Amino acid sequence: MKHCIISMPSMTFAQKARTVLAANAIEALVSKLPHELSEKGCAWGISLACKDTEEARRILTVSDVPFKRVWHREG
Amino acid sequence: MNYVYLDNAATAYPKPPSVESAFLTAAHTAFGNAGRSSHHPARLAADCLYDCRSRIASHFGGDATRVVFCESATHALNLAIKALTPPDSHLLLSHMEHNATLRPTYALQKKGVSYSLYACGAKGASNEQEDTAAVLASLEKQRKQNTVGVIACHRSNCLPLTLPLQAIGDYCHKNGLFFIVDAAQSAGTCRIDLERYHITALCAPGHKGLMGFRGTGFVLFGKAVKDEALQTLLEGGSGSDSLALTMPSLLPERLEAGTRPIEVIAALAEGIRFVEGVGCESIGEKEAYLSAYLKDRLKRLKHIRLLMPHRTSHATVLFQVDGKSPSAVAEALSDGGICLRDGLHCAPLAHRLVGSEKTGALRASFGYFNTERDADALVYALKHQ
Repeated sequence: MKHCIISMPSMTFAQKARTVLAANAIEALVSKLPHELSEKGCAWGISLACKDTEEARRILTVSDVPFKRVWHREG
Repeated sequence: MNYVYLDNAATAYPKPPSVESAFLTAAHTAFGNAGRSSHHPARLAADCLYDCRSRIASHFGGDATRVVFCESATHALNLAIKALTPPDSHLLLSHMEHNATLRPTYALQKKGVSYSLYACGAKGASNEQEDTAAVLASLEKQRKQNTVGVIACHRSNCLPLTLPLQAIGDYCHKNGLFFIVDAAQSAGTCRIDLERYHITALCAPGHKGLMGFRGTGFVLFGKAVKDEALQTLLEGGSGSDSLALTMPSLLPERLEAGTRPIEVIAALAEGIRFVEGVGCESIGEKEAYLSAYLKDRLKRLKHIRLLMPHRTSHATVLFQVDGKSPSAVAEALSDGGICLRDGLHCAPLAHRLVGSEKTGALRASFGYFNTERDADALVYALKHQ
């Protein structure tokens, strides 16, 4: 099954993103990024349904929560 | 032995039962290392961490991602002072700063940092306005061209003195200075609003008014601080950006190297919930009432000398016993199960203000769980000193 990951600057910002998105009825899980997606070693992101990514990006931007990029993943 | 515990300014006792439960629950369930692994116990630990960040941010009007956990208020003050102060600059410290502020500031002298002391009130002031005016006048008088910040001990740990955070914060905001607040004695007993008071860094312990255990403290940074400009005090693992040789650029990980003590952090979150349930103002009022109650009774004992007797106390009463050394009195009281603290209370500047720098004094400090009976027990014991 396809899902998306938004990479975040840190675990704390991933947690904040999850909280902010939950308040906007978007379910997201904090997840450790697969090694091949992390640029500088260990990294954290949020996993969510791909259909929600655009809205999630908008909400995070408006809420001043920094994020890096969106990854599309299988499985 | 049943103790009469009157040393809450050093660390609060007892803790609410819910705080003890939170500690044990975290120890048994959230036993992973937060922000490192992705297994369930580590995720639970990370959730404990974020829950506490959120509680702190909500209580003080800040942002959860700007809470940096420390081991104590002393650690927090070291971190904030050293992170924010550039070399060859000048700081303004009040005349009642604790050694937790004084010593790190003094240590910065090797980097060319100097400091001046500002007044924390007016002699013989009859109201808060006179005190505030004296503080602001002194700040202005001491400010130099290279002054970068002001540090304020919100409430003295031994004298009945409180600095006007709103006025000092406004002054700092107007003059482009950072504002570090030491809330070691006030957090959990009154409202402190980070944004409204223009606080750059609020430093507090978890184990005093916020009802947590020893081993916790934090800095809550304001939004105006540029994270990447903060100098790190400690470097190490942060759970992210592992290939980089430098700490992450963003708070809180930038200043949080190494494993966080999840059990005491989970307990602190519960402590803050307890404080909010009771109401921090109610807690402060109760402690102030007990201080006034004790002062009133000590005034009737001819061999007791109260220091700053006419000012309204918040939670502490400082006094001396005629003809006896404070340490001898404290020891005798301890034999009877009464716990209070003698000496200089790590606040030599405050003692200098009342002339007890050479002799020291005795401090009784109240917490939320004290009662009038505790004050009565102390008065009874002192009658026989």
